[in-house]
Amino acid sequence: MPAWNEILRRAAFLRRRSQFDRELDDEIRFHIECRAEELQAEGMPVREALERARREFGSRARSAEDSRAAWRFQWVEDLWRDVTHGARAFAKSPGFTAIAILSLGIGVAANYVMFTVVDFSLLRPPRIPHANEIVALVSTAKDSNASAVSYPDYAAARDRSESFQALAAFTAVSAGFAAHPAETPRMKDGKLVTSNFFSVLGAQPEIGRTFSAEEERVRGNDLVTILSHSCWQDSFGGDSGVLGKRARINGTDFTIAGVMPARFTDVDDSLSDDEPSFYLPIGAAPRVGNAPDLLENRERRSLTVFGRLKPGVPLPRARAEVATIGGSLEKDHPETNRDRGMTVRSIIEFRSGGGPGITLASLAMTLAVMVLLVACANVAGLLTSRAPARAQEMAMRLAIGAGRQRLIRQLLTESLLLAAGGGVAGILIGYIPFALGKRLVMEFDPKLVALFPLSGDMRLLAFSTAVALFSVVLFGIMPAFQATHTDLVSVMKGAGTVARRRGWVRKLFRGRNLLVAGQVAISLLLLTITSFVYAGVYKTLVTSIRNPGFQVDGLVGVDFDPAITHLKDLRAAQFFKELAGRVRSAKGVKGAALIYQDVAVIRPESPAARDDVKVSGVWVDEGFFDTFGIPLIEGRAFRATDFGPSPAVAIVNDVLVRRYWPGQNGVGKQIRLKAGQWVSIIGVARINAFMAFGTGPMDTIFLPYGTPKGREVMLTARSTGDPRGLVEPIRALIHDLDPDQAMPDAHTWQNTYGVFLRGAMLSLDTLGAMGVLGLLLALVGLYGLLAYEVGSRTREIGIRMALGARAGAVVRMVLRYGVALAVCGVGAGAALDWGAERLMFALLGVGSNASGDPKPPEPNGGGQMSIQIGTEHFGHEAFTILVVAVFVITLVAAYLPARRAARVDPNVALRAE
Amino acid sequence: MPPANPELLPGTLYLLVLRTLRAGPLHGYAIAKRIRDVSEQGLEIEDGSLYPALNRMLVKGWLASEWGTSENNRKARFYRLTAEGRKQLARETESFERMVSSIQRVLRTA
Repeated sequence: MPAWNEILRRAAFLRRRSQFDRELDDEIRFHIECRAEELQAEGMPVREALERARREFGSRARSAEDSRAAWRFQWVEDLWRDVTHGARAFAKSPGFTAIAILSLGIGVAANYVMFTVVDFSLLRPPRIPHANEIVALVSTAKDSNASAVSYPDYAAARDRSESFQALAAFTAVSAGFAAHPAETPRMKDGKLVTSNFFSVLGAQPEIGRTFSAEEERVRGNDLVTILSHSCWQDSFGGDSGVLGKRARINGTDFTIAGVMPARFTDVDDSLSDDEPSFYLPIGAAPRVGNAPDLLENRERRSLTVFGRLKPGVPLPRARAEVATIGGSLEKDHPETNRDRGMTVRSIIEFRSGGGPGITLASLAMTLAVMVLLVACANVAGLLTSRAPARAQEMAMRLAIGAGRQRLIRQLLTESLLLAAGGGVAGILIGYIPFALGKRLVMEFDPKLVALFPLSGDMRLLAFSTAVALFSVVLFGIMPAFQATHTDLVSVMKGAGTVARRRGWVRKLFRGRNLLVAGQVAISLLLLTITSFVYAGVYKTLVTSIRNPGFQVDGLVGVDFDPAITHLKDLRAAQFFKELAGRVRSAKGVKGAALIYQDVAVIRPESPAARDDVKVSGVWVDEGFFDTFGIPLIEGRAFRATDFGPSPAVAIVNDVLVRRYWPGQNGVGKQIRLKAGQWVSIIGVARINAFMAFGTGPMDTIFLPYGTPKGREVMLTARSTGDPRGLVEPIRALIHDLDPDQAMPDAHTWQNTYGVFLRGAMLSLDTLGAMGVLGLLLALVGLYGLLAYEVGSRTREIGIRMALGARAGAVVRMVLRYGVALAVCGVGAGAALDWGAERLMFALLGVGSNASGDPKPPEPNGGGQMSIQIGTEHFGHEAFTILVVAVFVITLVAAYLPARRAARVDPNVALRAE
Repeated sequence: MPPANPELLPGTLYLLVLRTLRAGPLHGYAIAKRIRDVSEQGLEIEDGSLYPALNRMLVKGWLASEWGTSENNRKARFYRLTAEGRKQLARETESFERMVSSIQRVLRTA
């Protein structure tokens, strides 16, 4: 390769530069002397001959310089010169440089952080071969967006549909797992799966085999399990002879049939907390506890169903077919499937939870893009305001002989420098949210760190920087064209005034005005959206965390998994009752309570309730109200005597009373439970919602604790001192009472609430920061434009003042200009807001009140925060305040340069001519 | 591109140097002298412009250079053609001849 050799030769030159210079010098001297000798030989006197030889040779310096130049990497040196020149220019105007780089940095950071998070949590397909072919089959309902499917419905879809190659299903299960029967079981997460689960995912076991179709149906003794790679390593030391051994899961022995490879995941890999430790055939569900009727009960909707479409079957056809099956199930089983249907979702739709997840994500991304746009507009404004000055410099350089190409390259280099600075600033700024997020996650549960992106995606950073670069180059290069297209004389002489009369300049100016008005509009939109979301989310989420309705300090919670070992219904109830009693009498305990939560379907005896309603149900024992210190505004708390075989009492919250019996006492009112039994209200508690994050006030009913039936039971104790001191004693009590019991998780409520609160605040602050930064950026742009505008009219103002205009009139003139821009911007912003409001309500379903199903969020530890936008419409107060703020700042931005202009001494201004 | 000597057609300096070196290695002064003598003073090359051209040809790999002793017993840098240089000479000669003959055709007929 000659080109390659050439580079090598040039590179070799770099090392022997001084030697080269010496040799070249010798060579030239030799040349001249030879010529002189020749001339002497022709009879010329010595001195004259040397003189003549020198003259013939020409400039020795130039010859040497040109020879050296032949060896150099010319473009590298030009680039270096451009870079240093640009850096010097930037150093001379540090304000401009800092603002431009900071603007770009903020825009880039906002963009790539947001896109990284969204990409990480939603868009990235799971690690499954041909993941994009996978579709999910979900159930739909009028009053909820839950999507899980019951086993009988799944079986019907599997048997009747023709669109799928196969449909698989699974549900999560937690169980006490012992590597051999003698060992104390430990809680581990597993999955109950259909036999085709692995084949639909396209996964092969690392050793052994997967389930056979018969094993899916087996409910007897020949039970088999498949371990995950990590469970195989942790519990069996990676023993290759593990196949055929038995593991005890919730008291039943399972034969190990296979081990899945490391990194095997299914469709919800990034959404689940932990990799499952074991897989069981779904037929084994009754043996491991939590839902004995999983396989029969159509109301037990807990399966995630997925499959692959047959080749050539489009998604809509599969959807239509599944909808038909759902419709016939609704007809055949009205008692369970009323208002229920089924549909098919693409893997991305499914992973984002259908609607709200994607819309919230796109909202966040839109905001981030808007910040970047504002930043780019801002930098564009700054650059164009410098353009006339630069144009003068360019004209000067053209005049002394610089090539146009060279000038354009110079400006291009400067733009690149600016964009690179913006990119670096973006990395630095973008690091902050990741660092904060990581600290928070580490504090909460170090195991979860793997589930969060801890650094930005470099491709996205590159993309954001490229967008910034594009705008910077577009506007940064303008002075070069400006300079190369104007006649040099007028630009050099008149600082732009002459040039301004030319058509293209006027166009540019109109463009600049548009830029600033647009910037005001976009930043206004940005601010209203963020303030709307901020206010809404803050109101519900942060308030619900900050004011849970009871004192959080001093509480310690122990969560028992529903699949609690070998204890069944009544025995489990006894176990908990006994445990609560022992904990209550333990040292340092002020009170203890048992709790489990679920949706309660009730019918208050009230004209306001025409049908069954779903409310948040909390089943508690008699220690609950004392332990939590939840105040009762009417009636009394539960007593031990309320806990008969069929208790007939209930306590409700004030929210529920206000809804169904406004202005009346709640005590004595009747409520029918779903089973048909009537209970009467004996007390009314003052609490907005019990342990529900971000949902706002919720109708809540407290019922006497019975048999938990597969619900997660929580024992909560209030300590007299540091609640952490109670964890070990409680664990010891559990072990004393039942040595076979798997050790549950314990946590202080203060910690849990604190982490939630800070998590919520972090996301809110990020959101708020984007709005505020957008506005700040826009204001800087506005200020820059006005300052420039006034600066470029200095001469005009001087003439006006010389002709007798008063300072006040001049200031008014400039202010008028600023206000006109602000009015345009605010007007456009208001129009955009109006549109955005409609759009957001449509997307988020606010207003139509999608919160019909007050499904209680999982109690702490589950970590699921369902966020609802609490505000029903854009706050008009917020909007008014924002508009006023934009106006005020516009006026200030216009006033300062206006005052400066008015102070201009007419003599100075005119002399500049 | 080298700054063109106004007396020469663009690029012909390379051709002349390559052609001159075909017979064997020469030092810079000898190249200049040979061109001047052979062209019977018809081609005026400013001696100073020879060295940048030689260096550019070194960079391109058409020439190689080494120090040796001149006929008057002094240290001098000798340039010789490389294989690549010979190929280049063939190429340049051909295109030059094509150009010249085209020009001549135009001059004869137009």
